[in-house]
Amino acid sequence: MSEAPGSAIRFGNRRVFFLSGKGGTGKTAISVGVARALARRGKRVLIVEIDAPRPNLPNYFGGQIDAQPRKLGKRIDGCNIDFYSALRAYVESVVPVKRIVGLILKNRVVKIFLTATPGARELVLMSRIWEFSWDPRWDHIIVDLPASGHAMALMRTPSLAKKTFARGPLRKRADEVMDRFRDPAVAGLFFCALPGEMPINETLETREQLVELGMPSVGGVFLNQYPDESFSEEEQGLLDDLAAMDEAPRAVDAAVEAAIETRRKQVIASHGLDRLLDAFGDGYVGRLPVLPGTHSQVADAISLIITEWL
Amino acid sequence: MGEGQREAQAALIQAVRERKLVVCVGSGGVGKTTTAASIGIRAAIEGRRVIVVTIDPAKRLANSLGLEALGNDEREIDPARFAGHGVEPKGALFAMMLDTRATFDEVIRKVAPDDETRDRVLGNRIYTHISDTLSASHDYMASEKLYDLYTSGKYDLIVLDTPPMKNAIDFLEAGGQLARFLDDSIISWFLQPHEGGRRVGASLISGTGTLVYRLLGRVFGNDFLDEIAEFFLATKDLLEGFRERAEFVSELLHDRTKTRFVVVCTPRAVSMDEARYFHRQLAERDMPGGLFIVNQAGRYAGHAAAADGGPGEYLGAADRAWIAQALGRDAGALRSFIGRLDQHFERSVALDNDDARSVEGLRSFVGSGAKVCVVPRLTTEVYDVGGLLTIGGHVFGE
Repeated sequence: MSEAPGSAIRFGNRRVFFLSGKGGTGKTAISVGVARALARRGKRVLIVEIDAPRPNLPNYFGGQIDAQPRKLGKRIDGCNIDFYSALRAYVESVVPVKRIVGLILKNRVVKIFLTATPGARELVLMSRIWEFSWDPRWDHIIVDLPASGHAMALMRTPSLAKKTFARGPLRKRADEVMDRFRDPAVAGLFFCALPGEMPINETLETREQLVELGMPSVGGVFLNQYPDESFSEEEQGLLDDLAAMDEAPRAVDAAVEAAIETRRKQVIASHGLDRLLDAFGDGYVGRLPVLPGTHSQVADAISLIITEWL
Repeated sequence: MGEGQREAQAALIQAVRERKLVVCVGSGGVGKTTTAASIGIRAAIEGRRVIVVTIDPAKRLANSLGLEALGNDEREIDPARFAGHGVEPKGALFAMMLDTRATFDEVIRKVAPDDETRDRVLGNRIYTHISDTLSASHDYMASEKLYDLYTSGKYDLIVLDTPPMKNAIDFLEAGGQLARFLDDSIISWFLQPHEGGRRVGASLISGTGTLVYRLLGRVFGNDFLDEIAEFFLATKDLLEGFRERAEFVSELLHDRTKTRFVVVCTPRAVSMDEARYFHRQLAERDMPGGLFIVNQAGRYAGHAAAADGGPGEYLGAADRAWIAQALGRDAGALRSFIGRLDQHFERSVALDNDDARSVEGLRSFVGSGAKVCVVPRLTTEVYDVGGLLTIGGHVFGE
């Protein structure tokens, strides 16, 4: 790819894509876009939402999703794992006897104990994703992480569990989760950011935390809603001239104002892009344009761009 | 807009003048912290002693208010910061950032019956874990801090910025969760008299507890259970204090004469969905909601294509002629520039029409009982008093 810096992300051959970003960064649209791009290339993909009180995937595919993966589209499955389904999967993997699994899960003490136990929730959810990552039904797992700081709590849990538990099954699972997801050939975390100054700051701060954690490896950053570069320098001069004039027709006035606003955003955005390129390196920053339309239309447009990166 | 906008602004003004607590909720990236700050400034201008409690302020915003090291302590914003902006607060503005760990430690120190209990809790590894990793602990602590600030009597108004959406709901439920977490029966289960050499809890040798305990050990590890049991033992004495405070805060959050929730969102589809969801959550809990602030709304909605232009053109023949004349150039030479200008504007209008539709959608969803205040997108990022005042102008009307 001989394009401008920041025009594509080199994904490598990762199985697991963790997507992280604040609300409004287009994280789910990008998750769906990546999934559709991979599916277009013949890959079988599972999109995972985590404990979403209102899952986003139905906005893109219609229908409903629940804790068990179900078909959403051609070669695309989706699910919204919740704590109890993840817990069931975890207990089943440790206790092979079905009847006992039921006994454990039904017990009120166990339920409350686990709901409230620090870190148990996060570790069990991560364990579920870890299981998916071995499942031969899918070539790729796309994890649409929760929008808040909760995402980092999820990522931090396995390493904390290592410190807290000297041995035992939870410790073993924490080790397995870490070993698998820290491997850049297997998993990577991709940030979704908007090009404003504050969102870029936050992305860079979170990236540093992640590097310190060592899990998962940093995959790259999607810089979403990057304003077009549609006006040359000479044209920008013309815009300034027009903006300085009085009594422009209403449409001209608004069109010039909108164009100047975009340019102002471009200046901020291009500064942000430079900072991301410094931290992530070229080949790990991918710009996405501002796209109008419904959820699904936006995701489709994104998937067409990402298909070119694969 | 018009009438609906003015009603919403009136409700917001009333809230900053009369209420004791304004809670800003919404998904991330919608300008919640900025909104909370501009509400705080307005309250100070109105003459109230107000504190803005934020979760994760952008550094520049904190810096611009002179809060280099915004921490778990309450700091007054220097009134000099407002000089040059044409406002003079009659009240006082304070700010603080909620530090979960520090607040948790404070609470333990306060409610621990003796030094030994205090040290045992602060030294317990599960405790460290809780205060660092349990996302819900953030909510417990927000609730604790709220209790402290409210009962201190130092402030007329508390403006609370909350974590993004999902956590905000946890926050509302934090009292209930806390009670469940600290449920006596669970604790006593763990703390049954122990036999043999094992630590507390690890020796439930009789009754149904035995089987469950052994299974738990098998599934989660015995070390882990021991830690938990020890934690419960250590915190047992703190229970009553926790519970009382949680109940107090829960009552405050439901009190319509004292509290007002403001749902902050943007016109983007995801944010709108979450705003609706949150609105329902508040209604179900019978909490004082029904007030929305829609930030970053588009400014070019409703522009029609030019009557004297080609299909889909917003700049018509007359506009194009005007531009050529204004720039003193030949229209032909400007063709591609004007084309790009027109195309760019067409896209701006399309995006902003999406915004306007979603605001209308929100208005009709919430019906006549709820109020929606629309704040147009500003051309620059907001990180100083001037910017906050501009936002305040839209939020409260002039």
